[in-house]
Amino acid sequence: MGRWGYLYAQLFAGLSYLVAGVILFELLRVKKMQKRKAQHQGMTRVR
Amino acid sequence: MIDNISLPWSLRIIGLIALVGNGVSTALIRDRNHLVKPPQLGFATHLLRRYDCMLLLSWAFVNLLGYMTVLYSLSSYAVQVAGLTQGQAGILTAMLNLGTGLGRPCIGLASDKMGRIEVAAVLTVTNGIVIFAIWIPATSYGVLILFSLISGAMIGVYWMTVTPLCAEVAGLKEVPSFLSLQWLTAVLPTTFAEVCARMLDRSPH
Repeated sequence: MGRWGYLYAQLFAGLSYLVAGVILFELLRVKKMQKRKAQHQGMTRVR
Repeated sequence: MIDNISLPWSLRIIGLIALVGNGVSTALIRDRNHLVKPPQLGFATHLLRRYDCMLLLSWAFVNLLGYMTVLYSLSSYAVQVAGLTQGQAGILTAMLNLGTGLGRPCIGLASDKMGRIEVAAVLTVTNGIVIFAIWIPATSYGVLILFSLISGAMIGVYWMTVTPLCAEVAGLKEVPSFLSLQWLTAVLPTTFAEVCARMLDRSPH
């Protein structure tokens, strides 16, 4: 097996982690939006 | 251990250690279901309709593809590409586990201090970067040891953070139902990730 015999497996692993990270950053954005919305609704109710 | 006491006894000792460890852990487990009163559904379809829950399940699926590939390819890569001996490849796996032992408590502490989703997201991306920056160019024993230690500390980020992330995303009451979905999601990538990775390398390019 040559020097790059595992290249595709390595790319597969690396890209999997990068894509998974992007998904989690999207989740972070969604949760922050939900939090902001809840705070806004709370403030409206207080007024 | 295999050289000194033979393979059958090495396997028996591993089995005994696992039995004692799991036995003690099982005896120490306590649940708080009488206080939380979770619905404990085996297949909570209402969670599958929520965008945030689907994102967490997708993260689990894709993350485990990378995890299994690193875990099972590293030692064979060391032997077949870097030209190391089986003993050195075994030490690499041991270093990966050492990194895991050191890294997981640190991930837990960091998650509590800096936010669970934030830490999990940063570590997941860092895993990807470490693979591109260290593993792909690595051909020597020293660099592979470094990769094993760094990667070992972070690749298990899923196992370390999945339960608190479930609680954060779906709420404490839904944790048992959501974890049931998580384990179901984990089946396919943990079974087929390494097969997919090896098939990619064997396909004619």
